[in-house]
Amino acid sequence: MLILQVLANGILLGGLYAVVALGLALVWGVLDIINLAHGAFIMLGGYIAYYLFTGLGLDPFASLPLVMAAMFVVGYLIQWGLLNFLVRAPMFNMLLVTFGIDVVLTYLAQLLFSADLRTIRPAYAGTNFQLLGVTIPWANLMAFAVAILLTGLLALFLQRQRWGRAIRATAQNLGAARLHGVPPRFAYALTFGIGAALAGGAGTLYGVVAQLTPYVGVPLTAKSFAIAIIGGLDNPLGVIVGGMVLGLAEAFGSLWLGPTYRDAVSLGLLVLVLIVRPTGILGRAA
Amino acid sequence: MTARTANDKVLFEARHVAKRYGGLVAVADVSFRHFEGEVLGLIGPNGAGKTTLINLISGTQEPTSGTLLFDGRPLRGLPPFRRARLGIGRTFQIMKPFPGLSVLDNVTAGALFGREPERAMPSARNAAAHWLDFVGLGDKLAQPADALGGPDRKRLELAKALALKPRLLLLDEVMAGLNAVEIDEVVDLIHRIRDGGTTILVIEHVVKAIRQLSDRLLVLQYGQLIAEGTAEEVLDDPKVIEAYLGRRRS
Amino acid sequence: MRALTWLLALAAVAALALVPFTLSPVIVQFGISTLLLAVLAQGWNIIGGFTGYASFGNSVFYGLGTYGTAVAMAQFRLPFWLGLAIGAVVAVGFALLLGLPVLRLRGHYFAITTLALSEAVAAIIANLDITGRNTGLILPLIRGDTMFYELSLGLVLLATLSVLWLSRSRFGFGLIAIREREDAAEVMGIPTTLYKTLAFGLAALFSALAGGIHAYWITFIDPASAFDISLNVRMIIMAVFGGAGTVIGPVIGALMLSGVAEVLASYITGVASLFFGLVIIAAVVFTPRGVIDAVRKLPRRGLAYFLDTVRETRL
Repeated sequence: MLILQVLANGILLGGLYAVVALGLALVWGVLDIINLAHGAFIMLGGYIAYYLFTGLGLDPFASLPLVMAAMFVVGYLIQWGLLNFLVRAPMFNMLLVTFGIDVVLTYLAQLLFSADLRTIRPAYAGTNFQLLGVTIPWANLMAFAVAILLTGLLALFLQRQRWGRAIRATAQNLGAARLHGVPPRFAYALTFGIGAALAGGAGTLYGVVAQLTPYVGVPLTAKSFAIAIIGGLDNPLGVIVGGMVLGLAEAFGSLWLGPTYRDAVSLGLLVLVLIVRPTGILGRAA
Repeated sequence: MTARTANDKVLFEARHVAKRYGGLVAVADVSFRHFEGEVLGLIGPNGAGKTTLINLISGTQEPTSGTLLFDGRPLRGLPPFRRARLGIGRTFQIMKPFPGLSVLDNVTAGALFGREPERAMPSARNAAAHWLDFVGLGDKLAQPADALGGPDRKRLELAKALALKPRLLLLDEVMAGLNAVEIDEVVDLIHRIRDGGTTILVIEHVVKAIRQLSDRLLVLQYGQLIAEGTAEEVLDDPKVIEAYLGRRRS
Repeated sequence: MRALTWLLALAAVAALALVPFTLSPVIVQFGISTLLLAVLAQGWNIIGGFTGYASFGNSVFYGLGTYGTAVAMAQFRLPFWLGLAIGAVVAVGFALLLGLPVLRLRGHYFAITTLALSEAVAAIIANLDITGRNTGLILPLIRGDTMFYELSLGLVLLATLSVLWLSRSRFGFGLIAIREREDAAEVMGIPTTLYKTLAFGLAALFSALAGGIHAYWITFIDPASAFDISLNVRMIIMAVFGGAGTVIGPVIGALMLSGVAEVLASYITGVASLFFGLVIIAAVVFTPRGVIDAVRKLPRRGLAYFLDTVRETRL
């Protein structure tokens, strides 16, 4: 039964990780920008949800759209006002600048929120239900459901909606974006904004099922990177696969090595994946 | 076949060399000998596997099966830099200068790391200057390498390979894109290299040049050796003509 | 190098060495931090600037050096110099061992792998008893910022002289060739795998020694501060801003950028790191080719230099 429990934990975690990685995979796949501040966006979204909860009593699942909207604006402005000026520079410059943004956001968070561990604990947090002898926390299940929902919504958006198709066209080339009536600068800012919004949403969910500190940014960025490589950059659904792989790896790693080794396991997995098969396991080679 | 006695030394030999990528066969069961001091020409339609063969000899790729012997010793497992140190030098069809470095520094690399290398920077630079003089770039030593025009880039590629003091020089289509005068100059250059004792394998499309250069000629098609002999023998071979032009009613 | 350059260099070193005897203790402390960052920048310069492998995780060597020294001194009561040596051995060993697989990656893959590796090692160290887990370790206390200052200065000198040697040696030439075009370098007889790994090891050596000195100076270390991720972006921007691939560039970059950040931070207390992040962003956008390039072209083109730079890289 322990195996089933660990399996369930891994799957629930996997869904969460899918939405964690979604924003990074989108921005990387469409704009060829690797946003090293992605994890910091997640962290920021989590803190916004936390303060909305403790300050206004807003349930995190209710405040999710608000947090995503706020982070969309943040991402949009960063791309519009800063990153758009570096798009044709070598990738190294983009890595450096987004890393710099991560540093700034981390220190801001440290200043404003302190380094204390925080979790969003609505009334139903800590309640579980039993299924086949496996304990499933309600909060984690809801987070999982929302994560899958967001992933599906993104997939639909990219397929059906005008802006979504324009974004996919931008991935091919800027001329195609113009054909869809979308100026490239706007398409870029829009995409990055969506990526940030997804990060914000992921942060809200993360704040409910895990603990927030100003320093969760970089490990989350690294894990997102691993998931994007495993799942491929073409399809949001591939990110689910990648997320599952990582979630299960962490769950079983926790079982065998102990819960404090969680990060070490997934980061070690990333290093392994990169060394063995950097061109990706599913989907388009990154 | 040119008269070659059993006493002529074989510098390089390929025995049943093949290179396969999954289902695709780039080189299929190629065997030949390259005698020391000889200029061996290698021709064939595009995609015949000529560059792949050069890659296999220089170590950029490893054969799927078969043996490559240089001076009697097998090359399998030796990385490219070791083969360069043994004396196998090559040029690239798509030229690969060190972009941020000067013309002189580009060639200095070969002088520092090739066969019988110079150990100190000043003497390496001197050696490099000598080779650049030899190929006709003596007045352009300080120029950035990526500022050179087409024909000069080829000379640079040549000088880089020569700085290694190669015993076997692999030339991959050095004449491509040159006009008649430039081709004559390069043929002359290659003759002088041969006169210096270097064994040369030349891949070329320019028929006039290959005739003037080659002691013997190999013809590759679809990765297979379809003809071998002197230029006269090979270029009149109906199989070769068919390979290039399709069936021909004479 | 011309005699005049040597003389100027000597004068500069002498001036720096006299700082603890002439300027305030606060400046000495600032000096120690900055000098250690300069060492990190030079270390990065070796693998990133010369060899072209932009590591985003050299902080791992700094951290290993920190912990090697700390464990040796706090847990085993070994003397400082031995602790330094142990830290260096651990870091260099790590670099040589993991360098082999990791240096097969290029560009941003290499960058992120090194970053992840740094985080992974930090996560592991935070779990081990011998390293004091998350609480960290306390080293024996010694007073005397002057000693640490001169040690740090000495390490900067050592690192810079090594880079000077690189710029003139056959080995360094090989590294530059690898940076410019690795596949061409291979067929020209350069043992690329060996050279890359040695460069990585050399960078690890200096980073680890800096970490060891820092550990003894600060007296208290924990995983978060020893493996501080922000060190990476700081050392990279210092090297790049000062001039990656040059001999003195990273040191200049370290001095200038630290100075600017400190001055800015003096208007709002205690947030030097925050301002540093902003300085980084500004530097990458406006002077991506480094300060030397800017200084060379500013007199002719004036502010248009910055506008042109941005125009070249914008969408």
